[in-house]
Parts: sequence; structure tokens; C-alpha cells
Amino acid sequence: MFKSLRSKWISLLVILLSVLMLVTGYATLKSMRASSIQQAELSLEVASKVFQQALDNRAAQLSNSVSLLAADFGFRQAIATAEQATIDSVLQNHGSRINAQLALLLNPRGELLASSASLDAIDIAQLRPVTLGSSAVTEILLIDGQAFQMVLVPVRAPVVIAWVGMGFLIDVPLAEQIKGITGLEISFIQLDDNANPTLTSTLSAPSQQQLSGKLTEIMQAADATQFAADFSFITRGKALDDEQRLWALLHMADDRWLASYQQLRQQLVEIFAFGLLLGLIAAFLFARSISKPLSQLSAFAKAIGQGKTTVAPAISQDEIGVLTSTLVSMQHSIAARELQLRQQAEHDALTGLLNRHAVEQRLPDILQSRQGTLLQLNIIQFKHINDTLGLANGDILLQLLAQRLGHHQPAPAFCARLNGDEFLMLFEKSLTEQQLVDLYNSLQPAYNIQDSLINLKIAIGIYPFQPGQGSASEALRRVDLAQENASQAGGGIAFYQSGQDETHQRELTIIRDLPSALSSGQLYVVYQPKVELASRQCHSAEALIRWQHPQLGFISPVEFIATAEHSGNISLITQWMLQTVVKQLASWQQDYPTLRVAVNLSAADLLDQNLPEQIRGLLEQYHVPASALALEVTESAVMQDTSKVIANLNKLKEMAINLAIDDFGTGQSSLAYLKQLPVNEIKIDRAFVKDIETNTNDALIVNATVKLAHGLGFKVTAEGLENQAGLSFLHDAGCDTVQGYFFSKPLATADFSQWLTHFAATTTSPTEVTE
Amino acid sequence: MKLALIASGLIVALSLFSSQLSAASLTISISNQQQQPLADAVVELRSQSSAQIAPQRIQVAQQQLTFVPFVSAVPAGSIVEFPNLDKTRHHVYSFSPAKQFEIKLYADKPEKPITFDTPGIVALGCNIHDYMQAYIYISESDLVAVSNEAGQLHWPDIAPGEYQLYVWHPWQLAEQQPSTLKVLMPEQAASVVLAIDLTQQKPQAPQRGFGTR
Repeated sequence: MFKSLRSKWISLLVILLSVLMLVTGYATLKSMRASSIQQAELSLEVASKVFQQALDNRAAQLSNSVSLLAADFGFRQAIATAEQATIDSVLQNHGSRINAQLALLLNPRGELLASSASLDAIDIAQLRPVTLGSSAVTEILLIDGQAFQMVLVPVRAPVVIAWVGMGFLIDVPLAEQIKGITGLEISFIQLDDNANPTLTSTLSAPSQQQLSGKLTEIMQAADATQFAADFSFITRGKALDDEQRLWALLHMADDRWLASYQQLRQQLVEIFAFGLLLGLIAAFLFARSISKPLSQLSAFAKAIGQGKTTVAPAISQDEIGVLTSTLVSMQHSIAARELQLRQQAEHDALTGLLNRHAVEQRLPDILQSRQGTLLQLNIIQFKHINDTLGLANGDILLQLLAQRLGHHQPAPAFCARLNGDEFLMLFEKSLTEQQLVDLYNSLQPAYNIQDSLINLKIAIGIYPFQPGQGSASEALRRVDLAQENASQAGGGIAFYQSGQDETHQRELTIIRDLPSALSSGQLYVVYQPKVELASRQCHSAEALIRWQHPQLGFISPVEFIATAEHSGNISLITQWMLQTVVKQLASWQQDYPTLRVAVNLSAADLLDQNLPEQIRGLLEQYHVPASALALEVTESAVMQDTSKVIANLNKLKEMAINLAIDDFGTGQSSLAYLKQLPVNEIKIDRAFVKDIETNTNDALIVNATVKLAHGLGFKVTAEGLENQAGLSFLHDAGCDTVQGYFFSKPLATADFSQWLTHFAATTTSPTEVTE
Repeated sequence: MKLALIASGLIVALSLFSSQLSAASLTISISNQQQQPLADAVVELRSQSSAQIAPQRIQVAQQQLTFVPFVSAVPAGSIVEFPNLDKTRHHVYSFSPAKQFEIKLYADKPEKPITFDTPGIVALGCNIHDYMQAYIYISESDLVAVSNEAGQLHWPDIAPGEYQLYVWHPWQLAEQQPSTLKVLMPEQAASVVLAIDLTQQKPQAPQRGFGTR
């Protein structure tokens, strides 16, 4: 709950204030209460004195009145008569003059002469001591069961002839009268002989009820202030007579003495509330004065963290200001460092041009919204230059080239070095042919490296693009294809041709899928029979590979073999082919012991010195005689590294494997090599055979070739025979075997077995063989 | 309150030749319990052989707002005049059983003197001046006197014999019992000690003004 600085501040201040105020309030209230109590006690004490004074005053007044009465001549005269009736009358008469409730007359010896009430011996006895004196006496006495303030005055004539006593009831009217003076509630208690109290009071009836239970307690502590929890008065008791049978109680209402205390308490509560409110406001304002700039700073720091450019809060003069300016300078250094980092991240260290990463960052937006031209440049045989001049000079050369590119007019949107000697230029407009030529020409002049003038051959691929046409990677690939084309042409400018990219993609798919296709059975072998013209028998066939691709469908062997050769994967195919065919031969050994199947080898295979041993291993593994396997190679394959190929072929021939030159007559073969080749057979390309019956040149070439081959001791096979007419020509030319659709198209393994059986049965009538 | 008669040293001297005496003088000294002479004490001598009583005529004047004298003693049947020597009127009264009378406001001399024929003590008061007090002792015998300032009483010519001695003083603490006094010597002396209330003073006119009673 105290997460924020502000709430911490506020809480702290509020707690401090509260503690301070509570402590102050408690102390103040405590002392105030104590002083209130003290004051109340004091007031009670004073009131008690006032009460006493009031009683004394009344006594003095009464005494005066009675004295006057006693001095009245008529009164004295009446008493002097000593007639009971007269005395009774005068007592009654004069008593009522001064409103006495009791009137009595004693002789100087203290014997009762007359009384308005019936007094017993005890009552009289308590009066007697008074008569021994000579002056007026006032006493509070319990007479006839009632409390009286009794005034006894000697009647002098002029000697004391009697004592006249006048009694005044101590009752509620008196209490009310004294209440009027002291402002306190007054109660009188009167104890009878059995100490049972009788209460008369100015208090309300319920309060009297409450009081009656506490009388004993109060009377036990005379002249002390009494507090009682369930009685809303503080009380002070005072015995009025010597025998302590008459008590006066003074009650001060709690309200009265507590009033100032309660008022103070109320004020303290108000001060507390006000102080707290003030403290809260002050704390809030103060906390805000700290937390607001802090939160602003925090937001500012957050913005810096997120790399946003924000205006810093106003810089104040305090510590927060210091923090602000520190943050601002931090913002600046971060921005500078970020700039530097971005520079480093996006630029090529050597040439200062953009790097590939930067190109990939920027290209998508440009391609999306603009039309323009993308150029990729490459130095032909840069590796050779590097080797010759040294890496350092090579780098200088790259820098010089980069300078020319950078300074070219019209200026490109950007120049970049993709890697090594590959550069990229982007123009946000279409370039005319002339502009392209100008660019190309501007790169031609010699580059001066340490006073040597170096001429460069530059290949430029060009890819013009339209808005929203393909992705950045596509664009880069296309311009790369174009540049590769230019490079293959030995330099110059090449435009991207539409479709190049798709072919490229297909090749990539083939390369990618080939290994898995080999193992998953997408590739399979078909066999095309070769028929011996002389015997009209079939003892050999050519194994051909087929690929049924799940997405691309049937892929021509020409395509995927060329691709495999290009990507260096051809040996995978050859291995698979050899393995498959030898395995099949093993199963055919029983039924067709004389069958020989030819497998095509590529140039790469022929350069593999391990190939003869591999084949030997295979044959031995499957117990297939070497004579059952034939290998076909193309002229161009032989031409690659003639001596190596011939050595390999010799090894194979020594193993008694039949060797043939495939597609004879189409390659760049030289007859000089022909005589060295350790082959058993040449296969005349279908280009010469398929139209042999109509093309006399073809017939001449076939005739001559057959003669040449036979002369060199080779057997001759004609490929691609399609009709009966051609067959007779070939027969006439002296071809040994013929292969072609005329006899059969390439057949799957089972079909080929079937075909073999069927052909053997109908060998005498080849014309009946249907397609 | 304890009242005691201190009559120590009441000396009665009998003369060997008493029978031969025809007259004697008697001096009685009265002192209070502090051995100080006691004025205004009344002594009455009563004898068995009661002689004839000779009424007296005396005055109790009102002078300077007091009764003068303070204490008077006369045999029964005596006449007392109350001359008013003051400018103010007085209202002399007595409620005493021995003689109750009232002389209402008068100046100079009242119309009639008052005759006191019953033995006893009469307390005199003035209804106008409450502080005014005086006593008249009405005796049964002729031989009655009031002590002077020296506390002495003197009878120059008294028949020798046995007397009952009565002593009274307004401030006495207790009523005195009579004692016997035999007069045998030609010059007989006796002394009496009487306990009185020492705090009492003779009534005096207050200073001018009210409220100082």
C-alpha cells in the first residue's frame, strides 16, 4: 500500500501528526481532567463553605429574629405571667411571626415550660446544656424526628427568666434556597435511631433513587469528594450535627464540571481533525511537488529506454533538476551511441557503403511503394585479382570501385556492398539503356593501385521492379540471377528474364528433394530392351531412371540429372541406380542368365577413382557376374579428364564389364580419343536414327559410323528406332543392336520381364510386336 | 455548673463576757474566689428574736442611663423611689415574683414610689434600655446591707447574739445556704468568700450610637 513515494510521505506525516496530536491531546486532556476534577473539588469545597455560610447566615438571621422576639416586652410580660395558656399563645403568636416551625420555652433550669410540638425527654435533654449559658445559641438538632435549625435565646427581664427556642425545619425549601446561592443540588440525610437514612433532596426523583444506594459510602468519607460511575454528580457529604445523624450532601452535576473538559476535548478533536486535514493537504502538496517531477522523470526515462524522442521536463534548481539534466545528457549520449551503432550495423566497414543487413531492412518498403531498378555488380575473377595483388590491394580496389559507384550520376537511392566483390545499387526510377551503358562504361577506366593500373571486368545484373511486386528476397535473388548470367557471359550487362527465377526455384526444389526421394521410392527404374538385329533376340537393355515427384509430378531425367550434376549430387543417383539395377539383375539371374543391363554414368562418376571397386563390391554382394552389367558414358563425359577417365574405364573393362559410348555423334568427341577408349560398343544418337528412312545424310552418317566402329572393333547400337522403315535401313547399315519405341518403350521391372518372355516367343516375327 | 459556698475562715468568736454586752459592732469582709474584695454583695442577718422591721425609703436613680445603685437592699415594706436624672425617659419594670411593677415612660420622678413588701429579689430593667439592670434585695430582717467597693459591710451597733447569715450577689454561681453567725464580741469581724461569675460586669451605658449592645 505504500508503494509510491507520495503515499509514504503522506503516511509518515499523518502518523507523525497523529502521534503528536494524540500524545498532546492525551496529556492535555489528562491534566485538564485532573484540573477539572481539582477545580470541581475546589468548587465543592467552596460550595460546602458557602453552604455552611448560608446555614450560619440563616442561623444568625434566625438568631437575630428570635433575639428580637425574646426582647419584646409583651413577650416577656406574657412569659412573666407564668400562665400556661398565655405562654402557649404567645409562643404560637410570636413563633408564627418569624415563621418558625417549632417554638418552645424552657425555664432557666432547662425544664420545658411550653412547646408547639410534643417533645420527649431526650429532645428536652439535648436542649438543656444550652440553658446553662447566657447567650443565644443556634444548633442543628433532631427534634421529634425532624431536623431543625434550632435557635435558643434567653429571655431576660433583665435577668434570664426563660429560654425561648424557635426551630426551623431543614427541608427541601431550605435546600432550594441554598441551591439558589451555591448553584448545587443539595440533599439532606437524616438517620433515625437504627441508622436508617431518610433522604430529602433537590435532586430529581431518578437521581435520588441512584443516590440512595450510595449514602453509606458517602457518609463514611465526610468532607471528601465522591465520584461514582453510575451517578452523574460528584458529591461531598457533611455532617451537620455532632452526633452525625444529620448530613448535608452537595451535588455538582458532572455536566457542569466536565463542561470545560468536554469543551476542550471537543476543541482538541476539532484541532486534531483540522491539523490532520492541514497535514494531509501539506503532505499531499509536498509529496506531489516531489513525486510529480519524479513521475515525469520516470516517464522521460521510460521514453529514453524505448528510444522515443521526448522533451525533457523543465529543469528545476533542486536535486531533481540535477537528475533531470543527468537524464538529458544520458539521452544525448544514448542517441549518439545509437547512431554510431546503427551506422556500424548498417554500413560496411571497408567501403562505408550500406551492408546486406541494411539493404534487407530498407528494401521491402521501397519495393512496396516505388518503381525502380536494382543493380547487382560483381568483379569477374576477383579472386584471381586478390591472389595476384594481395588482400590489402584487393580491399583498396573494392574501395575505389565503391567510390565510383557512390559518385555516380544520376545518384542511386543507395549503394551497398553485399559481400566480397558484390555490390548493389538501387535507383528509384527506371534507367534507360543509355544510362546503364554509361554506368557500365564509367566503371571501365583503369583503377590505380600503387601506381599500377588495373582494369576490371564487371558483370552487372539488372532487375527493374514495379511497386508491390514480390518480396525483398525475391528481388535480391532475381538481380543475383541476372548478375550471374552476366558473369557467365564473362562480364557486361544482363537483365533479369522473367521465368529465370521459377526455373531456379524448381532446380532448388529438385536438389532439396532428391536425397529423400531416393530413399522414399519416388524414383524408380525402367528398362528399354535392345534387340540384336541378326538374331532378332533380346539379351540386353538400358536402365533408365524415372522420378514421380509428389508436387512437381513427372520430372524429366534430363532435368533432374542435369541439376544433380550441377549441384554435385549425381553420384547419389548413380549409386542408387547401380544398387537398384544390380539387385534386380540378381533376381533375374535365374530366368534370364544372359541378360545384360546398361547403367548410365555421368562425367563426375567417371572421375571417381573408387567407382570400379564400388561396382565390384556390389556385384559380389549380389552374386551378379560382371558380364551382366554394362555401363554407358557420353562423349562429353570422357572429354573432361581423358586420361583419368580412360584409366577408370580400363579398370572396369578389366572386370569384364561391357562399356558403351552413349549419344555418339553429338558431343565434341575427337576420333583420336575414340581409338584409345577401352569400350566395347558405341550407341549412335537418336538424332541420326529417328529420320533415317527419309534423311539421306543421316543414313550416310549411320553407315559411315557403323563402318568406322566395326573397323575399330566396336559393336554398334542404334538408338531411337521408331518404325519398320528405319529398321531395314539400320539392318542394311550393319547395326548390331537396335533400341527404340519400335520394339518397346522403357518398361517397369515387371512389365519388362513379361515383355522378355513374350518377345522370345515371337522372336521370328518382330513386326507383330505392337507398341 | 457547680456552685460552692466557700465560707472558709468564717470566724465566730465568742466573748467570755458576752452576756454583759449591750451592743457590738460587726464588720464582714466579702471576697470572691480570687480573694479580691467583692462589692455589691448583699448580707442579711436574721435573728430568732425578731425585732420590728423598720421600712426604709430609698432611691434607685436612673443616672447616665444606669440604675444607681446597682444593688440595693431594704427590708420588706420599704419604699423605693426611681428618680430619673437623665434627659431620656425610662420605663422601669420588674417581672420578679417578689414584686412585679412597671413604671411606664416617665421623666423626673414617677408619680408614686413603689412599695416592696415581699421579701425576695427584684430584678429591675428598663424596657427602653435593655442593658440597664439593677437589683433590689427585699429582706425579712432589718439587718441587711450591701458591700462597698472594699467588699465590706459594717453594722456599728448590733445586738449580740446568734444570727442566720444570708449572702447574695447578682453574679453568684450558686445560691448560698444561710450560715450561723454569733455576735459576741464588741467589735466582731467576719469574712465571707463568695464564688461569682468573674466575667460579669456592672451594666454601663453603651457608647453613643447603635449596635454596640
